[in-house]
Amino acid sequence: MIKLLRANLLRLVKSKTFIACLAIQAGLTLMMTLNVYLVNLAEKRPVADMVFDITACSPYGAALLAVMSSIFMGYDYHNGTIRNKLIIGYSRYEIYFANLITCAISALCLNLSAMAVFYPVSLPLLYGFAGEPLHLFKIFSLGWLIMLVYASLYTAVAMTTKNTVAPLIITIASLFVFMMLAQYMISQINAPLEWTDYIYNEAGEFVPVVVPNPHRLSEGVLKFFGVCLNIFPSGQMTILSSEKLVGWQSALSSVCIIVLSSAAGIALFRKENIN
Amino acid sequence: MEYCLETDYLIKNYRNFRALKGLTMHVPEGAIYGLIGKNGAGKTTLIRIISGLQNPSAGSYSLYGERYGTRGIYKARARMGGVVETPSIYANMTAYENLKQQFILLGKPSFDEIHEILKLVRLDDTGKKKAGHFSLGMKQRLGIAIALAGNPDFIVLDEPVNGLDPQGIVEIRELILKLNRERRITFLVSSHILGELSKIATHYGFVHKGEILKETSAEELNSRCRKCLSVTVTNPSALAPALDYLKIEYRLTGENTADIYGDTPLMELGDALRLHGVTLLHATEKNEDLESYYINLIGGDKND
Repeated sequence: MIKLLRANLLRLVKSKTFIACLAIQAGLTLMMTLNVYLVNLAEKRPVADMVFDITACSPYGAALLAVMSSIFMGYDYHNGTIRNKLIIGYSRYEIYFANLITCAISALCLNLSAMAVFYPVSLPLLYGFAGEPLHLFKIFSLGWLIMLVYASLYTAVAMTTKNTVAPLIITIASLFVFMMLAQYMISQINAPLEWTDYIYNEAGEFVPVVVPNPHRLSEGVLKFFGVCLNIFPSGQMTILSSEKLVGWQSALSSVCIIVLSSAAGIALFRKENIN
Repeated sequence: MEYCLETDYLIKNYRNFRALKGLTMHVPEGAIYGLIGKNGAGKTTLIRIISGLQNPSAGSYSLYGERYGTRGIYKARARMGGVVETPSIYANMTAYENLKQQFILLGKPSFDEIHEILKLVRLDDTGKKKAGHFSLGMKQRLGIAIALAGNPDFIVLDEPVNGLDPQGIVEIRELILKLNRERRITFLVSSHILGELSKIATHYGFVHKGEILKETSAEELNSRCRKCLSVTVTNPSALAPALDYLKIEYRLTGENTADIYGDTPLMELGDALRLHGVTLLHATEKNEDLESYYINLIGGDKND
């Protein structure tokens, strides 16, 4: 498998898509830094944490990883070069795992690319961190784990759809849908318990009264939303730096998703008829 | 005879369609085995299965004695190379880079051999030209070069001359012959262009509707397809001595029948046989070529 991995990495570093994705990730980190800097210009507080979250894990990073993995693995099917690996005796397990590791390395490279901008540019420009080192370490570790979850999901999709375009559409579309869903859940959880309504009193005056929020969902549903946010990568990403993130729950579910998606991916890939 | 590939009643189902219906074949080591069959006969399905791209629904096969389903099959496949349908090449890489990729996959310690392989397939002057810009013939030769990277003992080529111009066809043919003669590489070449296969094959397998109808050597097939006179006589025991005495090339095909080769006029033959106590009862001229042999074998017409 080392040989397969070596061949994959050689191809990866020569890939224009890979280089472009790294450049976009670095560019996005820079843009985010400038944006936070301009907003914070008057107060000059330490606000590097916000950009740090994005270097650890962000929807942009996940989308770029989707593009990279779909094109990289899909190309092997498109050109038929996966046949060269099978004909000379590599097992499907070896091919799958080599691609999974390559995808995980791509995710790491995206993080490194963001960090290459964050540490020399963002950190001094945004007056350092406001959060505790332990909290920052938690964000970094969980962020990296979320990217690994995406790497395993994208590998499973790319290895079983057998072309370049389909996995690209599937992964980007599902990323978008799940991010929207996560945003909806977080907005429901954050919805106020009460709000101010205006009514006419007996004297005929228009007065404000505090009433329960009629649109707020039941506590049971909101708890369920909270668990979902901690279990699924899109949710974890949305609440990465907030106190709503339960570290052990997120880490455990990430490991479970990696194992399950890889097992499912291999089981399907083993039975695939390759042309 | 040593076989590098043997299949044992291979069956392949695609949902409701059965592409292979118990295909059994034997590819001898050192042979150029021509797999002949119409489009949809099951040639490519067979090649995909033995290349590890697809799994058989039933039946088995062995490569160099290693059976499908055992760990040994992966080692046996390391002795194999192939081009299935279209050449498997990275279009955005040069010929050299494509071979380098394959060398890394094979774990070769040095890339020195790449130039030698490129020279062998006459792609040594392509420089920085990307493989995506190659002609079909060049791509086909690059595909063969990649197959050669692992110094294989057995190469599988699926329709290697499909879509090539006449010069490209000659080049591929010469390359196959050269590799077979100089490196003793066994080839399994599938094609529906009979004329092309007949110029290189040492053995044939005729596939029809997912089954092998007949396996034969080129030698046997040539003798079967040679122009000859098929005769029926009265005194079978005297026939062979008579023909030996007359120094006529022949092949006994039945108890009182024989195929007689050469240009001996029928009248003279009849007289000569009569002198040896053999009476000629019936004589028919046979002139069957590979194409008509194949058509007769599948029992249909050309346009079927």
